[in-house]
Amino acid sequence: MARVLIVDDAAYFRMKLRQMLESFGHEVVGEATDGRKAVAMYSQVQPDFVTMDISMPEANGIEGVKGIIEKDPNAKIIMVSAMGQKNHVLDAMKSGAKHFVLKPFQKEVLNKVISQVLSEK
Amino acid sequence: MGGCMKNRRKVLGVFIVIILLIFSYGMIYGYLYAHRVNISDGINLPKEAFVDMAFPQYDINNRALKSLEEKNRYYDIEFTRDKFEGQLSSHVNDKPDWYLMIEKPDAQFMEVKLNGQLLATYGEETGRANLWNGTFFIRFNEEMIQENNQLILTLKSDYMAGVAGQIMVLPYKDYRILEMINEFTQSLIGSSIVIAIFAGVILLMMIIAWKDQLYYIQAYVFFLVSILALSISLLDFLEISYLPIPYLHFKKLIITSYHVAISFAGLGIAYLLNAKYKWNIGIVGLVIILSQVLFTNDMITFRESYSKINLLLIVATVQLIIMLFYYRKRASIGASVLLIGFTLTGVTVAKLVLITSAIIESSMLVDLPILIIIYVTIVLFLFYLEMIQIVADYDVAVVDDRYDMGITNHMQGSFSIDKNLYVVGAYATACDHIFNRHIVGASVLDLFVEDNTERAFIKETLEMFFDPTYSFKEGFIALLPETLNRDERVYQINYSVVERAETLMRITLSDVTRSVELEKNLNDERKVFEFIINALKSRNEVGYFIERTRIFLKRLEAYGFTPYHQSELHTLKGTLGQFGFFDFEQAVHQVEVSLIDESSTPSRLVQELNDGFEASLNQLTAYVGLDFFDEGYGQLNVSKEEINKLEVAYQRLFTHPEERNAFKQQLRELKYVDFKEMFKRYHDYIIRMGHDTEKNILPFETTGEDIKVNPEKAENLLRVLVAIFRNAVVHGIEIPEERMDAGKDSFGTISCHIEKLGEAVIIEITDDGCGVDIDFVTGKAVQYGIISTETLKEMSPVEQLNLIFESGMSQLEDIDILAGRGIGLYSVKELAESLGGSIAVKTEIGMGTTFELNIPLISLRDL
Repeated sequence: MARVLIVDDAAYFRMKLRQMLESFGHEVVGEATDGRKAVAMYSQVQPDFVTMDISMPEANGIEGVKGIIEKDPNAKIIMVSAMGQKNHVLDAMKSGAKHFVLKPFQKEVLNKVISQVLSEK
Repeated sequence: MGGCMKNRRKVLGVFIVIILLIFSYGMIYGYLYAHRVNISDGINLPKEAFVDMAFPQYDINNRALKSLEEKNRYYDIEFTRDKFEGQLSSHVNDKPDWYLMIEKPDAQFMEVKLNGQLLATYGEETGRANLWNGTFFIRFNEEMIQENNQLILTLKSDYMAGVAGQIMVLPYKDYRILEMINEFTQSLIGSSIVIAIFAGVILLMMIIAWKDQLYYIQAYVFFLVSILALSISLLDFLEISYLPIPYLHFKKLIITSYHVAISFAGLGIAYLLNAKYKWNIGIVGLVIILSQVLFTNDMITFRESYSKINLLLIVATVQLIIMLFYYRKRASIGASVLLIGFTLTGVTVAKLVLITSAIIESSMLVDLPILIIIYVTIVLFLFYLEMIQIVADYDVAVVDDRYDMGITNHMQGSFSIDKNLYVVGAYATACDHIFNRHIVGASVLDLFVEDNTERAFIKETLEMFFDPTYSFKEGFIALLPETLNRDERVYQINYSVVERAETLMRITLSDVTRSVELEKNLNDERKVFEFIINALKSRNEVGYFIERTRIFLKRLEAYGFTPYHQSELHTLKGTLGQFGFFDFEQAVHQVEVSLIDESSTPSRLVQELNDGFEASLNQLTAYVGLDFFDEGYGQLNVSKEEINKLEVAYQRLFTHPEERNAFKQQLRELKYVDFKEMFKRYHDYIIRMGHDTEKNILPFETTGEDIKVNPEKAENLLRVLVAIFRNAVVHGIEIPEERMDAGKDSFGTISCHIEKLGEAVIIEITDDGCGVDIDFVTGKAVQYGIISTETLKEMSPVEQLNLIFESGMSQLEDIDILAGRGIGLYSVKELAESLGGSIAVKTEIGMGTTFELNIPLISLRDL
């Protein structure tokens, strides 16, 4: 269905997310482990949407969002963040991400967000 | 309550229908007027000759008049019969009657004379009323028409504008049409006044009925004042003023009413919307007009000033629409559409008032603000009704009812907030109870949040929630607080999106104080359960580590916290933590922290560790006891299947919390044993004692059902039963010789049978010995002074037999090692009764004795 770029520093979480996304029928076209790599990979793979963790070493998710939005103002980014980083979620939204889910999340919630992201042109 | 809500919608519906009827009424007549009214047969009379009676040379136009003479003027109109162009006595007129129409004479008094003959008078000479809005039709017979005619129209007015409309002579058919339009106009204005008063009454009733629920009660009072002022201002449109005051005062009242109507409507709506700036330009107009009212004493000056000040009303109206647009974008679109519609109606009405006149253009400027007031107020009132039902729902009210009626003390209530984070619309009164205040108009931040950093975050989250840029509203909801603590109660907060005239957020509070407590207990309990199951699963390791920790803690006491011991402690923390020794784990954690800042003495720290360890062990003992973890305690073997079963039951607790008492019981039953098994100790005992007393006794087995009991609880009972077994051996079973003499087997039989009878356990211990000699028992009882001979005589045989249970009885004269230690059967009876049971004895000389204990099962288990 859609092509996804996963950005998260935790390998385990990337794996879980990949499994979930694939179970929805999406194709994971790339995985990045920090914000900077995400920006580089975004132009490379041109995904339909990005899932972006917030706290990552090197360049965090907010930098990632800013970088991607700079390149593609219409980029669709879903922030994926732990409950403890509530404050950063809003910063990320202000930087240009339009959606977010909080970890730990249920499959249905993720699916709902994704359908919403994809329905927006 | 739900019905009430529907009624409010019905009121709104009826209101809209009425407005639409008036609108279409106006449109239809506007159409008829434009297309059907053909007054070509009427004769238009010239108005030039308008003569001042006292000073004919004066200019007549809009001059302030001082003396009474000045206020009298007359039209002197001459016309000839030729004007009728043969219409007289012709087919044009069905009747010989003609009608003189005088449209909107600006006067308080009017007198009409044709050819010296008085046709009619209107108003009063002393003049308090104005005839301004009247169109008058005066019938006369065509025979009155001569070759040369003179019409004298005398007017008395405070300022002279003359007849605003036309002066015409009409045939009957034209008269019918115009008269009809005139009547319609008047009825339209009349019904507008009725609607305004009707709306005022509804508002008043709302204020009275909901005075406790209206946080900004000012808003509703402002609306009330506004709508009443509106109904007063409408009097200006009536044919004849009904107010008994001079014209200047009347006009002052009317103009002030316009300004009050619009500026108060503006205030009301500003309060209702919680607008940041509540003032409007209408108030400025009102202040200016009031100063004019106070300081102006002539009509002309007043009229000139108010026609300019009225422009402020238009500005104020625009301001209201902008405010509405800012605070209620979607509602304002609806309101603007209605406003345009009603303004069009207003223009129609204005046309109708001047039924034939060509001066619509000039009067429009003056009258337009008035019309706008009428319709803006109505629109705002509609909007207000919309506000009432904007968020109120059936479910909001039901719980309130139940709460008020005392059916439930589970407080639950909803309210809604708008994008400015204020509480709007109807809400559950339970919310007032929860917050201890009226919450309408309050900022949700003030209601919820005390912490300032939290406040900023919630504010930002809510603002983004209302921001149309972000479509996934549920995401923001996840960031908002889930519970609210207030007055020592805990409320669960649920948020939902309400799409009405605006996007609103509905917030529902439910009192979950009780369930939170339960949940917490349940969670603590679950932790303990998990701990026990884990510990049971790895019984040997846990047993080993318990022992090892005990030794370690002693060594710690002796050697103190050396680096080696610290590292050992840390390892133990990890290992025992893995098994679920949470209290110990936490104690170690605390101690490790204290070791860094050296805030406590080592002995104190060791004490803390011991306490934590004991606390953890206590959790184990509370349910299963430590014996499980002692190696070699054979009786307490827990099978894998049992632990598996426990685990399944434990998992079920997450979805079936009501099963937790059953689960606890299941845990406790782990250490339960078969009651029969406990009697095994007596099997060997009997043989041994038989041997010591030189009696032959067959080995016996305890028979009967499997009954699981808590061994700790059953232990005491089992211990005292020794008296019965001992008695059976020592006093019951005879020596082999005696038995053979009596024709019995040389081996005596002692049996023990257990069975469940309802909620009790029956323990039956029988011997086939010599039975109890009652005479011997009674003799001893008298001898030991337990009873007197007199009492003995009154006793039944059963009562006499029961003396064996009396304290101090012993059947054997020699106190030996086996019996007679003074604790005999008496202690059995006492214990049985203390457990809520009983004991009975049956005996037959030479045949044997049976003791039957009846013990409530529950006393051998856990409650």
